[in-house]
Amino acid sequence: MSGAWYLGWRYLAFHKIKCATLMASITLMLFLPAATRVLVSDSAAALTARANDTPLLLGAAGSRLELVLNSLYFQTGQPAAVSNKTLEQVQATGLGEFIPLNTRFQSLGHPIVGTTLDYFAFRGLKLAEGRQLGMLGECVIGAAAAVQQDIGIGDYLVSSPETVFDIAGVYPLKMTVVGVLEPSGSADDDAIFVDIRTTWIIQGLGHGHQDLSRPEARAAILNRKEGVITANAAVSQYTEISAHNIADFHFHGNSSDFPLTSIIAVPPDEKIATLLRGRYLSDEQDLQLLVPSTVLDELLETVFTVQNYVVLGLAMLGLATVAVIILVFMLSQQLRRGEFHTLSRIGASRTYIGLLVASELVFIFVGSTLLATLLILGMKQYALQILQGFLTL
Amino acid sequence: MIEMKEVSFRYKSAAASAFSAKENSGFVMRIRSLKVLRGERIALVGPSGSGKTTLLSLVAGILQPDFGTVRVDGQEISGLGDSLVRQFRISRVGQVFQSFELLDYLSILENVMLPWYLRRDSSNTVMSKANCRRRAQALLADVGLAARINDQPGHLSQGEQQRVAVCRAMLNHPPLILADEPTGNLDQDNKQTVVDLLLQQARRHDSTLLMVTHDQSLLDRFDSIVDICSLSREGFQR
Repeated sequence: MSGAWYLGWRYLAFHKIKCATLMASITLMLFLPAATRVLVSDSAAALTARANDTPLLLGAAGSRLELVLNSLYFQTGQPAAVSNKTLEQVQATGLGEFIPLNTRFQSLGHPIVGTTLDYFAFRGLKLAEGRQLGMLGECVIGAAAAVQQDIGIGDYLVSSPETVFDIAGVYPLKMTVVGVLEPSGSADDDAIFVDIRTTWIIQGLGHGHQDLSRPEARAAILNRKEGVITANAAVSQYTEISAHNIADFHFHGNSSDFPLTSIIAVPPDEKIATLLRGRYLSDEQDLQLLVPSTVLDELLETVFTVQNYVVLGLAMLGLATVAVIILVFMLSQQLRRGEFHTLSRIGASRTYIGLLVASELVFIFVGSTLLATLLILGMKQYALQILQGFLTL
Repeated sequence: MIEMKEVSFRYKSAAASAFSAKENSGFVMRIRSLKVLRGERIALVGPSGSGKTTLLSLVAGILQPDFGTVRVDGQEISGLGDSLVRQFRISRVGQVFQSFELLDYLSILENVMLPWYLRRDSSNTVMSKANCRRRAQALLADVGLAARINDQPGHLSQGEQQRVAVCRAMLNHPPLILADEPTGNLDQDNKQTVVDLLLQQARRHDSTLLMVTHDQSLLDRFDSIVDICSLSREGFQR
């Protein structure tokens, strides 16, 4: 490092607080507008990509945005449910492939996504290890969920109770991890996938308990009349589905009435997609068929408008900051006149003193730019989550 | 070593006055002649405002005379360009100031090495940093500050700071040492110490010492005493 650069460095190292304050101001001045743009553009790209990969979405009438965000990213509040009968009806039309989703439950903060094996093929999700879902009570987890919870094949996950204080409620279900997915860079990485019927068991629509016809279950029988056995509270319910007790699991009620969050519709071509959309155009229906990319484009249009105002505000703030920095810098040069005078008397030229001051500016601006760049790169990792967080507020 | 002939100088611009408080004061300095031999130790005396600092600035090449010649070590510096005169000042002149003028953001060792940091950018024939560091450490050891080389100047007493300033002036073993009231801010003990140090260093390196002082008690330590007021009338020659 040449003399002037070294002296400049030493000056900044000695005046740490002054230097840090200046760097923080410049870093923020650079970071905020850039971060806003990066955040919005990256999030928009990620949101749009997944939406573009999802041709149509069928769900209950209500908030379009909530339905799309919940079905694509497993976030936001729960939209109204549609019945399994709807799935049966659309499947009967033969107008494409229909994939049910039930995203009502969570485990350790990760969404439990009830679906069918078609979902994995549709999203192009591949197993990194283990096998696919084969039985009720099994789960396949996303790569990020596996890393965050430090779980793998053979480990267990327990569904979170919906209401902790409901002592008459459904027991949480202990699920066995049978597969871990490769990272996909999407919301699937954070999810826990189960068979759609497993989510109905978590919901309490199906359950398993000891066989009441066996003699050892006598204490759990409240009433036996005309071949109908009524159990009392002592009946032992299973909280885990295994090969030994799976035969004791059963559903109550009509499976056509069981709930789904939404149905992904994959028509074979645009013509059939138009036909499908036509079936759900009426406002009087309690169902809606959405094109997710259209819904997100509407959302992003609003976001981009807001972004422009925010960036404009930040730019004005940046100009004010630059003015203050220039003022502080000029005052600082006045205070350092004695120092420059000494350097000049000893033999430093004006060029040398100019280089000394310039080196300080370069260190500060380069340092601030690097810091701002690092912050932006760090923020890019979480851009999608940050935007989704804002959307769920 | 120093030779000034028929020198006349008048402050005329804000740029030049940056080196003096006599801005636009109409101050005129005339020196009929001044001749100082190599190795001589001269005390420069005179009332305040009589031009002692201006004379040192002319000898150091910081100011250029309007008329006359200033020669140092046989080289006429009054005609040198800015770059050469700065190089001359860094390599051949050691300066000690009344208010020490150490840089607070450098360590004591780095303050002593300051001429090296300045010279490195203006000359190709420089000693290595390691050599410079060794020389600076030796100088600081000579003045009893070996254990404090990494301290900041603000942690030193005034006497110690002036000793550091003397070391800085001596770094390049300059043939000429210019000291502008170096004892003005010091107590009696430190005055003696600093003057001893300057004289000792000048003697060791056969340097010429030109020191401005108001202190009568120090005058008997010098080879000659020059009253600046007499320079305009009869000049000074040994």
